Amino acid sequence: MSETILEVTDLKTQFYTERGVVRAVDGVSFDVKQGEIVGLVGESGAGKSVTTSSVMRLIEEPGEVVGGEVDYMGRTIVGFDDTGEELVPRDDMLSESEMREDVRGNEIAIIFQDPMESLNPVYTVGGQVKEFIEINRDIDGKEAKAEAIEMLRRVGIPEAAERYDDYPHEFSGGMRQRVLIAMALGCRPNLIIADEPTTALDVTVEGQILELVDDLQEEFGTSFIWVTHDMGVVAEICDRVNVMYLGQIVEQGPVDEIFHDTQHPYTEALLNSIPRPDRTVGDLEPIEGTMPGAMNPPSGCRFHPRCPDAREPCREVAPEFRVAAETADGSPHRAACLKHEDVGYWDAGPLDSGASETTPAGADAAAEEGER
Amino acid sequence: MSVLDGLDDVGMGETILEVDGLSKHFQSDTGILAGLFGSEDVEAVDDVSFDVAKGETIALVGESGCGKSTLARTILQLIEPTGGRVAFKGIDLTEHSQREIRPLRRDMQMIFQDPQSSLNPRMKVGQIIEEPMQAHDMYTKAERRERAKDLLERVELEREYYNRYPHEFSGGQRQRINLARAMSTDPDLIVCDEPVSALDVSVQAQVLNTMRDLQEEYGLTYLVISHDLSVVRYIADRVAVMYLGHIAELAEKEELYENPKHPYTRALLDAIPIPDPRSRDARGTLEGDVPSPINPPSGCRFRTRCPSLIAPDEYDLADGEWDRLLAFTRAVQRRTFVPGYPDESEGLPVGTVENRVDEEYFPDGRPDGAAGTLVEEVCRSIADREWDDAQALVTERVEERSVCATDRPQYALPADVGDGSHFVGCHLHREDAT
Repeated sequence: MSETILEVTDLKTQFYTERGVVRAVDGVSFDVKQGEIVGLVGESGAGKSVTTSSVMRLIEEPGEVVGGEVDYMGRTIVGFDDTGEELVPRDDMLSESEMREDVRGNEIAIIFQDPMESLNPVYTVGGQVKEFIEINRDIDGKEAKAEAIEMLRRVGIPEAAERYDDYPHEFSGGMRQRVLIAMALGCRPNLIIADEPTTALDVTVEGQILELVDDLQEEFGTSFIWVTHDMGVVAEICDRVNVMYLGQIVEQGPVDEIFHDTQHPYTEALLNSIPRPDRTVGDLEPIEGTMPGAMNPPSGCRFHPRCPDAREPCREVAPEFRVAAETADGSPHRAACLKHEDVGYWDAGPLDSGASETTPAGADAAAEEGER
Repeated sequence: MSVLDGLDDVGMGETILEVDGLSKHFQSDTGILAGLFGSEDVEAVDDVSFDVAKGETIALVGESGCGKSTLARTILQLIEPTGGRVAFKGIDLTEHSQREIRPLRRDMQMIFQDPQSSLNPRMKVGQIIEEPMQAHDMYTKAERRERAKDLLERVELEREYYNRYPHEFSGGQRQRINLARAMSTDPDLIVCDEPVSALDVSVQAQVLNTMRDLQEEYGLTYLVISHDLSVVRYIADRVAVMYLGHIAELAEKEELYENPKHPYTRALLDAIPIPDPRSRDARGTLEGDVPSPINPPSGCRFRTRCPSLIAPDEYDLADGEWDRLLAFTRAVQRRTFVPGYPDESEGLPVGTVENRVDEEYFPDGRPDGAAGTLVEEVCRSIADREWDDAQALVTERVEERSVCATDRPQYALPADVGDGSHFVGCHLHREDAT
């Protein structure tokens, strides 16, 4: 097994709003090994993007990383000391300038969903790629330009040399997304965090980009954290998967086991609710209700109000995130569900989960949606 | 005399909507100069024909910019067509003024993609649902109120939500309110423009199931516009695949998904990631980008990207030879062939270019005759760095000589799955046509 390059342990990020504290990420642990693609899946509001922003230390006011550890190849991106009363940032935590100069871009790069907002409209596309390469690698001038053109060609921009001097508005959405990938790859980072990079694209363009990521990953051995809500994309490219629900990871394991030896009812429900392109399904089984707000998460297991398998203890006991099943390659398959614990789940009666079906989302959820 | 006098009574399964040769061309420029010199047309929808039967769900699928939304809006006469006709329940909508067809609008409703912006935030849910009934002078005030509450229940919301405002609801609930509003005038046809694409997956299924239930109960006809082939496979009975303003293929759902005939449909189906890691396979990715709808390609509009372009008759080539010539043509068109010029201005000797071309595209020897001469000419242009000439040469002498460029393909074939017919806009099937 290749070495672990990123280790996230019990990460907690909160947002302080006028209405109260939103625990957007609440105790998330996962790791990334050299050369693998790790998926972070969940519905909107699950905390996927906040997790990746926290890893990059890009959380801004009114948000704050309040606990946990993020370790990148022996360097502490996030770390705290417990003084007994409160948690204070540890001394060995990288400073803001170290993050900027040593980590972001050249070690860990991030690709955002909206390519129009990530490119500067008044500079040429090629110039922006070249600038990125100059900042993050020790090459400049002609060499950097040649490298920029090469990267643009590699990501499938036709007539890359001629289009070097084009402006972002002269590119289509798919091509702009490819430019962002070229920028990220041009810096030869060790890890790329891709935040829904293909969500806004048409399927044929998405197919082109997934193909490209496969090829490039093979060639450069780059690791990826792939953030998405699309189980199809996960099945297609990920090696390991983390399923998030309401600020927590509920299931984690190799991709085959996540789909074929599912251990958490939420993952199961998610898989049963998606229409399939490859076969006609008679009836979809939707997940009842909507995801509640992170301001006042449900007690016990956060999924219990919508869970088809919920029983009495689920209302009170918060499940532990623990190994739930054997896997083919020996890497852990964890889940946070009382089914895998010894707290009397199997002896208890079922909860009447249908009761919550018709509850309106309420001002709470709607207000949060508005904030996003 | 009202238009409604000509209204046919349409039974289940009979044709409720006829679209015949419908076109919508927009002017790409407006203003004085465009008026003086004329402007090029954007052919958003061009000569599209199909029928819709009462009680069925027909889906228009395609990628962004293929004209599916324009087609739907043109059918509803929200945009005036530039050609062709649309008949709804036997009445030709294109012959009448907006004012005359207004009473018909209660039978044709529409719901939109974004549940956030399609509900007026200042109106209560009850008012929103009652508005269309009021506009068409239907029922008394008390009846409308009662009906609005009934409808809330029908779309699986609560009667009590009548007095709430849209911001109090989640995306899925808002889309249900949209459904209730569309249902309020008891329509026959509901056009749904990307009805679930703004919703989270788990909520998508809820709304799709509600749409199905309503259809069963009221015999509704849906025209669904979507880019999502998985959603379409779940709810549609028949599917029309659009590409650049044309219908590429139209067939019953099972036939289309299990037996796709158009190379574009195949590429589209191949590209969808399947939610099962065990069915990972080599994706056949489609190369290139969709061309501009201003001066779209002649004949088959997909021909500029088609991997199965038909060989022009004038070249007498074996299958393998044609495939290699086509690969070379595409490489020149997209400039993916890198001859390796020494620097930014100098060219290369013709021989060097020819060697590189042979190595990469014709390892078993260049084709003889006209095709061989053409490859030589192209190499000469590349050697002189005259890429525009090289591109023009392959486009004019290879691609545009193909039947795919000279004739627009429109063939009706018998379906393999089910007993319907199968429309294919591809010359590969010219011999199977009925």
